[in-house]
Amino acid sequence: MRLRELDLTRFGHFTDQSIDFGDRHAKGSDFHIVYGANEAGKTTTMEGYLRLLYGFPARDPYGFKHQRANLCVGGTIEINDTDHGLTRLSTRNANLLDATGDVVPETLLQSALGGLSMEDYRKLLCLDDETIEVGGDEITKSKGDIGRLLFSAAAGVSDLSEILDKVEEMTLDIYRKGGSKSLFAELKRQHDQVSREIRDHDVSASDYRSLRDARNQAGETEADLRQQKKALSLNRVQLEALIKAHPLARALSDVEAELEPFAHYPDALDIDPEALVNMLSRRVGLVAARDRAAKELEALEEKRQTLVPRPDALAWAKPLDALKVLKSRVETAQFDLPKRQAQVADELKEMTRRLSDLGIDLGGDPMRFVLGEVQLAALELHRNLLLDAEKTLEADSNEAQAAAEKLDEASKAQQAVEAAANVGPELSALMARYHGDMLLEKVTAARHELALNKRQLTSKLQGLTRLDKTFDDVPLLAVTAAQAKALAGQIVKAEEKRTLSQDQLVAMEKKWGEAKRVVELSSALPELISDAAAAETRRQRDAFWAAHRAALVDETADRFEMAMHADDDKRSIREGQAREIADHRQAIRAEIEARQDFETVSKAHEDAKAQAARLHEQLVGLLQACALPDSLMADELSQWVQQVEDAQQTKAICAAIGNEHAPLFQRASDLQDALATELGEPDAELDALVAMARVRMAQYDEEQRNIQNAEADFAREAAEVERREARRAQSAETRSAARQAWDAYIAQHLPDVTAQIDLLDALPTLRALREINERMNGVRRQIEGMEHDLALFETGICALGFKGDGSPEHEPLAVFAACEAEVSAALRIETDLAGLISRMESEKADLDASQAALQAIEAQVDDLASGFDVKIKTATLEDLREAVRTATRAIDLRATAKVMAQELLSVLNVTTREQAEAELAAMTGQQAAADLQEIDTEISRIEQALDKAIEERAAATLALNAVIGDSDIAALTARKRTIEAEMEAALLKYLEGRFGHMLADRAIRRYRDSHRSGMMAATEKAFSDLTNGAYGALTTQPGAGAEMLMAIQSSDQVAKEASAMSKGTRFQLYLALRAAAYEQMASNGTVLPFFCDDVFETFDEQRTRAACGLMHRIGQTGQAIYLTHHQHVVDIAREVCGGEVSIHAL
Amino acid sequence: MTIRILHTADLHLDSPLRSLAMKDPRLEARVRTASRSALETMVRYCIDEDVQALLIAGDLYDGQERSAKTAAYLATQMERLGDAGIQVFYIKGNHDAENPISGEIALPDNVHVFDGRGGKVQLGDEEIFIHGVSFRDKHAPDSLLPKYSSPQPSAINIAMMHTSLGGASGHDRYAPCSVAELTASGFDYWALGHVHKRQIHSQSPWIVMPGMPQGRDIGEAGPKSATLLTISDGSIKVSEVSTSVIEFREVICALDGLEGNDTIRAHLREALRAEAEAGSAILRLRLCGETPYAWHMRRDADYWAETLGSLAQEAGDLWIEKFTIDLIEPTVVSPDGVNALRDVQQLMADISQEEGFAADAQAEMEQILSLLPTDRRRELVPDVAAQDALLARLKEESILSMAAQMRGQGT
Repeated sequence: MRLRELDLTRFGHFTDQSIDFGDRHAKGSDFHIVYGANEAGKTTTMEGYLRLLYGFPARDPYGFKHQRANLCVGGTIEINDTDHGLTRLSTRNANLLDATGDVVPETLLQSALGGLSMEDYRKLLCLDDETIEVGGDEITKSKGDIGRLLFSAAAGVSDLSEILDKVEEMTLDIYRKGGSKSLFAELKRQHDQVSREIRDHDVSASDYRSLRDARNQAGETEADLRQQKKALSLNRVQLEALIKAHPLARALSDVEAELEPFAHYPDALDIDPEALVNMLSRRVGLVAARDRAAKELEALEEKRQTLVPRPDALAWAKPLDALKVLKSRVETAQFDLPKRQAQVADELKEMTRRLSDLGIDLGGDPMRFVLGEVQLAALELHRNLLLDAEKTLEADSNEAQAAAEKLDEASKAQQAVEAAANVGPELSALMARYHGDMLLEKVTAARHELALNKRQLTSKLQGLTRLDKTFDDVPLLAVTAAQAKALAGQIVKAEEKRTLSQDQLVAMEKKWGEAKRVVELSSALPELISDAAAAETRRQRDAFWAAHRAALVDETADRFEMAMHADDDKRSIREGQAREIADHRQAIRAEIEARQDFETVSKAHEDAKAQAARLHEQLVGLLQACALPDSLMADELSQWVQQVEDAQQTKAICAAIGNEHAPLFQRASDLQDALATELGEPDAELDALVAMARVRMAQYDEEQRNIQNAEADFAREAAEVERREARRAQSAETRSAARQAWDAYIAQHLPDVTAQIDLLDALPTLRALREINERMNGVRRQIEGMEHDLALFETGICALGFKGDGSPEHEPLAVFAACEAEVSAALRIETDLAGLISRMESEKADLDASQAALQAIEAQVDDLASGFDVKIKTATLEDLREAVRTATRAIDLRATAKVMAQELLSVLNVTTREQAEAELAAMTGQQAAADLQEIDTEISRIEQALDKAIEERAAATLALNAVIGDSDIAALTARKRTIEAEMEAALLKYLEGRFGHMLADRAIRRYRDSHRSGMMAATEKAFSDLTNGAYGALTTQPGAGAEMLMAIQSSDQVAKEASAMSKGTRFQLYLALRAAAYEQMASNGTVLPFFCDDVFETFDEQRTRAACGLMHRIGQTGQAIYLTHHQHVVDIAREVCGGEVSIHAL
Repeated sequence: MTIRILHTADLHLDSPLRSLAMKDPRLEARVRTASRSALETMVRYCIDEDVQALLIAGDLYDGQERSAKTAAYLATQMERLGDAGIQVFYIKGNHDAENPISGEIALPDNVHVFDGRGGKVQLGDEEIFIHGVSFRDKHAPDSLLPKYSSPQPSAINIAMMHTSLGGASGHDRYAPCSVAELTASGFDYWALGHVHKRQIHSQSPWIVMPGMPQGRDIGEAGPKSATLLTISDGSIKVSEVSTSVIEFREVICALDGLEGNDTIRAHLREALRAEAEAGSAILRLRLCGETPYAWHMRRDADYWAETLGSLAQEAGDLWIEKFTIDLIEPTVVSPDGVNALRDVQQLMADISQEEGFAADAQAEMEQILSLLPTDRRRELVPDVAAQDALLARLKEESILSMAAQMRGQGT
């Protein structure tokens, strides 16, 4: 997998940022450095890449600029030589899209990632200061298994131990030794339970046989006991009969003895003794009743003699009854009549008073003012109509008056508003003509733009100040910026050249001096013959030879000889001094060369100086031409010229803006003038004038609105006045008509009422007169009725003809009372007489009945006595009763004796009295009782045994019968077998898991061990390279429960653990581990981009160089991307990798 | 006159079905007492179809199931037959001889039980004689043939014998004799018993092993029946009467080239529907074939167990008691990251063959299997060879399963 392009579309502070890593070099390394300053987003780039691979977390710290929902990264990823344009959205699902926007399955990336999780990717292949340390620490201190993480990476899976743990967990869920919650333990429990149920409920063959035997045995025992019990029970019954018979026989003898005196009494009796008792009591009652009736008859006769009847008084009874009602009315009338008559007089007085209150003359009958109900209602209707009409007229008059007042006010208001208007329409026309508002806006913007540029110009002019030289305007330039820059460059180069030549001159001078000293030293040897001296000697010899040749004389020959000897001597000496001479010559040559060099350099230096001076003069000339101080440097001039050009440009912009907006400014000026004139503000600015115009225009609009409103108000009020007046006239007409109707009605029904009297308020009085009249008529009717009743009553009383005793109180009511008393007395006498006669007749009848009943009883006694023997006394009812009692006793005894005899025979189970007596004679009662006790004891014992035997037999039968062909046991057995199958399946699954776990555990260990050595070697080499050999080897040492990775220092062979190293060295170790892991993964077919975020920061230059080499090597296998803000790292990488590193600037 | 006789054997009454599928309460409710249902089917058939006699050629009872309730139940069924005037002829097989209950409950008069000495009984007034010899003991190492009396001349002679004949796969040798000897003995119909799979050894004379009426596990797979003899005019015709409530069936389902859960599920659904049409059954399903999805299936074996259960229920009266994955993967280039796993898998295979591991595994297996009830353990590993085979199978399965788990990790 390779990252070809990374697009940070919306992520962190990036928007549409893209890094193109381009094609992979056909040969060489795929090593990239992303260079950017602090905060440029290097770490963001790495995180963005991880988001592309694994998606966005629920809370993304990189969602600070773009909202979480809008985060988006993308890129082009090469997988198996195919480019995949991918986009990762921050949605929850299906968030990986291809170039066409279709959803791409995650498996595309997952398979390319070889199952590496994001956390492991981060720890292994996305290194920053934190992850390199954390991941490295985990690797070097991995608990007891140094190669675990590396192996995981190499195997392309994140963590196989997780699988092992899961499998182990699964097996423990199935079976755990001694555990009670595993699946197997549960099945075992169920199995035991079912087995128990089967055991409890099943019947085996032997059990069945036992059951059958038990039932047979119990049956036999029961039958035997039953037989024994039966025999004993029989014996017992006989003894019990004997015991019972003895007292029975004695009682029978006693009864027979008692019967003997009553032998002559009859065997049967048809007289009921109770009937005799009843007869006796009846006779006593009848005698008493007869005596009482005779006495009562006598007393009643005496009382009848004292009562005398009064037929005369009885004749008044009927007429008095007829007068009773009338009498009561007369009694009331006598009391009420005077009061009613007085009441009539009072009512007439009241009528007179009320009429006089109204001022009506009482010259005539007041009754003529009494009107009927219909007339009163009509009168009230007319009166109400009149009053309503008057009220309406009054209200309408008031409304009309108010409307007239309002109209007047509206008229005044209209006049006031019109008078108050003082603004004309001219301003509006002016503003409209110039589009005042828009013009002001445009002018303001143009002025703002112009002012802005002018400020910039001013600022730039200030920037032109050099030392004490300032500029008010943009100066003219004698030189262009390019020329100035070129001059500055030339001066710099010339100066560099001069300095260099000067340095060289000094060096050459020094060198020449040293060469000269060498020559001097070599020539300073005392016996050394210099070349010059030798040459001189040779020249002298040759000269002497030439002279001798010419002369050929001894002298010349001697001189020649001497010269020749001298030359020979020197040659000889020089031959011995060959080395020194050679050195000397070398020294001379060197001195010559040094001198020549010095001269050359000296000349060059002079040239350089001259050139520098020339350029400086040129600079000074330019400075003067620019009116700048001479002391300015060339680059300062260059910078100044550039600033001037910039200022010129700004000035030109200002001018252009001015020209561009000139018509606008002119129009603005025209408007300003016009407004100033119109508003009378000659000194005001345009914006103030426009503002004032706006205010005035608003005021004009307001005034116009007020005038229109006032006009409308006036028109509305005028219309209202007209309407009100019309209504008032209508109301006046209505009132007039009502008045006429009223007057006409009064004239018709109350003709003698003068016009002066206003009857409008008299209606209640007229109603009262009518009510008084009604009441009075009622009283008069009562008076008439009373007087009529009095007359009728007197006539009735006279008709009775009562004489009385002649006293003066014989008025009708008194006569009526006296007659009534007489009649009452006569009636009482009649009633008493009738009662006496009735009672006497009743008593006589009672007396006769008692005597007849007594005679009948006597006859019945005689009849009953005839059934008895003559020797027995039966003359009286009492005798007869005694004879009957004795006969009854005799009959009862005879029956008892018979029953007892029969019972005796029955008890003894014999047929004759003789047999019974023989039996009784054979055994006494005591003997029988003793025998019975013994038998009872025996029976009780046998019964207990029998109960038990029955119980046993029933139980055995039940148990045997319980064995039926139901399928309970079969079902339980089936269940048991199923559980056993489940147990077997569970254990086999357990074993499969266990074996898998054991095998996998061992295999993984072996795999790791076999790969570990390779990993260790690769790490060792990488670490040695990174530390430039300072650490030559790695080893592991068992620590406290963990295996520690140690590095061996080359210098002293001391093993150091990572924590004891400096941060830089530790990072190098961790980097080496990642490089080895990368190599291992690559060899297994998983090649992924490897990111490092400035982890070389703590490396020295040499180790940085080595680290760049390592990244270069990784790039040769896969893709290495280093993120940094250090230029020197970039430089070193370029130096180490040449053209095989690509630099990308952020 | 036509005479009908029903011939059965090896009822193993109240011997339960031995299947994990019985965990399903639906199935348990249906076939809880399958052997009784099979007997009742036969009894009902005899009564409804005017069958004159029922022949039970041994192993009416099971050796292990010794409840008196079984005998009591049998007595009621025999009484039903007796009430319908049907005679029952019964010889005891090795399981009956072993089972003490067989002699405890008296069977009704219509049941004739042959003893170990042998004998013959005439079927009513018909010229049909039934001969039989019971097992005296649970072992009968010698042929019982000499104990049979000679066939009755001029009559149909039916002989009942419980025998493994010359020996059958999965069965010990009981009352050995050959088909040739039976053929030569002069009987018209040999009503055999003992071997649970139906087989007609000869048609002249008839030598018929009817098979058991109800299979109890996958070892007794297939539809089960009783054999009906129809005797008319001195000749015998033979037909089958279906008796099993449910059958065990082994199904092989090929998944060659299939990939993806949905595709495979659809394929399995179709396969199970086809099985459902063949009648209700307890299935042992074997998935075979070559598919890149093989390791997925292994890894998700639990899921597929659930899925198959649901599909079987959906298809009809089917239950899956077990399914095995014998799928292989095509030999193609492994995807990235698989190389290491392949190495690990190979290492697992190597280690599994090493003595050290074999000893550890065997010790652990023995220890774990000792937790099983004795009978069950004995059935699972009756001998050393079986134990070794089980160990080898478990090792192989564990490697495949673990490899699948590893490959599936992280996906």
